[in-house]
Amino acid sequence: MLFLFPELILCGLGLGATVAALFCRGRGAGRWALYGFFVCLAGVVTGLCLLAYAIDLGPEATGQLTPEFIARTFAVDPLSLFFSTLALAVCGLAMLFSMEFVEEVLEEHPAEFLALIAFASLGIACVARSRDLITLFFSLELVSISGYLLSGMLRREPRSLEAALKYFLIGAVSSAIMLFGMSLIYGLTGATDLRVLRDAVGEGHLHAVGQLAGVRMVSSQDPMVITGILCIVVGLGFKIAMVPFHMWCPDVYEGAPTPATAFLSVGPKAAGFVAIVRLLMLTFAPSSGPVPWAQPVLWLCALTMTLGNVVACRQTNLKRMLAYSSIAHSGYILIAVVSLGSADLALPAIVMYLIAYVLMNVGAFSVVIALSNIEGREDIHAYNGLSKRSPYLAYAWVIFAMSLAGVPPTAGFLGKLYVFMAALDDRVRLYWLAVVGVANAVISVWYYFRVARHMFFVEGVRTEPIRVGRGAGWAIGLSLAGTLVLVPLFPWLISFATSAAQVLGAW
Amino acid sequence: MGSVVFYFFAFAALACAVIVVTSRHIVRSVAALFVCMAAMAGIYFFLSAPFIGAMQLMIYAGGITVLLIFAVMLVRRAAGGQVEHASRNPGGAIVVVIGFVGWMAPAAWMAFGPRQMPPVEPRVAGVESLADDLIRHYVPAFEIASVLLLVAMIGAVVLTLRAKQREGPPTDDE
Amino acid sequence: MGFMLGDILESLGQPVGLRHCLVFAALLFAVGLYGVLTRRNAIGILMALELMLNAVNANLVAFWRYGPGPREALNGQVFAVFVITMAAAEAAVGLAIILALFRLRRTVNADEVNLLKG
Repeated sequence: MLFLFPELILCGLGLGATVAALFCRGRGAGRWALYGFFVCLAGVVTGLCLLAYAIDLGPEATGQLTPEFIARTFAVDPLSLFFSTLALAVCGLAMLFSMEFVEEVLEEHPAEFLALIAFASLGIACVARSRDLITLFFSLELVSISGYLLSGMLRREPRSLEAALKYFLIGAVSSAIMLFGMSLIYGLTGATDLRVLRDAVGEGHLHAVGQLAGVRMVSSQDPMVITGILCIVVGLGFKIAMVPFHMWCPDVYEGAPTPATAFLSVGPKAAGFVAIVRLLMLTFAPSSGPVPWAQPVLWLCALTMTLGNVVACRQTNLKRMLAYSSIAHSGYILIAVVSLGSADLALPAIVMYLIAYVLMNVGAFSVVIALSNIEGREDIHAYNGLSKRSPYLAYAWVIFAMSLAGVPPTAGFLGKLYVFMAALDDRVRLYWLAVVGVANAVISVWYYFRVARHMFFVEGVRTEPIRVGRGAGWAIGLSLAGTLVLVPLFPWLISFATSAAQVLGAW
Repeated sequence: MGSVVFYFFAFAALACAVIVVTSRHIVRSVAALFVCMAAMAGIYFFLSAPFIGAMQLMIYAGGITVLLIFAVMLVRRAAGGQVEHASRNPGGAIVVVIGFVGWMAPAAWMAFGPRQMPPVEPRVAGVESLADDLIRHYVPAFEIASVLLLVAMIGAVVLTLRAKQREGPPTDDE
Repeated sequence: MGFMLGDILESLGQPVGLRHCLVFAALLFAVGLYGVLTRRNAIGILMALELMLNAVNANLVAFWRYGPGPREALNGQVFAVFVITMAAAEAAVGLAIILALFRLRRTVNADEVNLLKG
């Protein structure tokens, strides 16, 4: 149970906030958010200590320390512990940047907002843990359902509820399609355990069959298997806003309350990518023979990057712009996903990119939140002359923009670097994809810095200084520190991620 | 004999499903959904999964359909009678659906030859072994499902509970 | 392409096997998909969604019944139980959102949700 610490913290936090909702009406919710943040902070520190301990022990010993009835469907390896600690960190940051929002903007049910954030983070952590189709699907569903509700929290705002409705309908349909695919995969092999599925799908390692009576071996070229896997790809594509399935993303991000948008842009996306790593890269990737999903995802990846960046250039609403930017970032991470031939580079690259993405996106959104708490709007002209009104916000934006665009020396740059390195590896040779990626990074510089131009060089109508709220200010500070300080830490992180990925490969 | 039972329920379910998605009358849609769910329960009984059949009857037919009927009635009363329940131009949808069936049905048909139904001893398909599986093998999923239901409950309360003091349009419901 | 009408008609006389169930589930799923794509009413879309989830359950139970695993392995049934649970949660959340929106906008039509243009 020791290694389930982050999940227990998140679950306790969610239940605590639910109970707090009984007592806390209106004022005072900000204080609860702050307590939540401190709990998460303590949890992250403990989680990192546990992580060091778990790496020290090795995967077998950590597995033995966990009761069998949990270890059967829940992985307790270092990588999953790392991801659940990351989920805890996301939850803490979300508590922090929504502090002013729950205190001042959200009139009703502020504590429930915090509870939903904690439960959604619990879902993310559980996605990282799952090594069973059923558990994985339900963890994803927990993230999604909390997400629908978070985007509809401003229930007197038609826009918020419309965003919730759109998110719900599209999310539910994509879940149903993914479930259909999972039912086919289960039916063809007779197994739901991902480790068994990995052996059963593909040319396969036949050694596993002996002890696993009742599992049917199937070829990865069987049309039914391909149908099942493609259904799963479609479902996951919706969750991470891959291109033909991205159309919900800008609308939902724009309509949802800004802190909810900030959470939605990192939480469910991270969950989707962790699920992609588990399902597509580690389970449905036969060691010999062609990988059934690789070719379509390869093209969609290039399309996702390009469309996200090109359309983002034309946006004047910052939330919409960041929505398209997050679509583009999904495209970058997909580069590493399709370079699974060089899995020892691709897996750490995904881990790195996700960390960097969480930090810089939370940071950029916190700037938007800080301003929208005061101005109540997010179009680009609200940012005119921001450098005079609040230098902190303006300079923070510049750093986050650099990181998002992939300019050194930021975490975003290193994330992109590792992703491209995975694609350029000799075993993969996706040179054209890397070129498309770099070209896209160049395009993205333009629109991120267009906002900076408005902040620094356009005179604003209003000139009074902005007092940045405590929570948003701290969230910006923390992600700023992460974006910049992570850089010297990267060699260590990479070596950790590589060792964790090796553990996973053997998992 | 068994086949006749299966075909009866299958055709009933499919026919009702078609009514659900094409009827212009929303109450008729809900009623058809109810029958469809009940027919599905019949199929589960036929497939010797009585517990799933019972769950289907209680939760789908008894719970979800009733919830839908309540929602429809609420909306209908507040909207003053008829609720628009039209369909969009189905051109694209028909292509998608025919594509799906055209791919999926032959693939399934050819992947599984005419195998007989394997016999099932009543014991193993019973509730006991299912509960055993649920509690011994899928504990985390079970817990996640309970959190999921809690979240749904919180959500329903947050979105629909009325504040004590004031409320928007005064006309409707409760 | 052995998928002929005569083949189907002949198989109607045979005992029901896995493939009959699968084709039935695929058809049900397709009908649900059609409803999701064409319905304008959000409650209508929700109903079509329930059809899709039911098709998944039919798949799961049929696969359990005829599948390769020992009958003692109840994976498919457990999965189906969880899917039913999820469908209930989703229906509750979906209806809550639909009703809350209806209070504000007096419509349940998904395509009249146009403050956010696509």
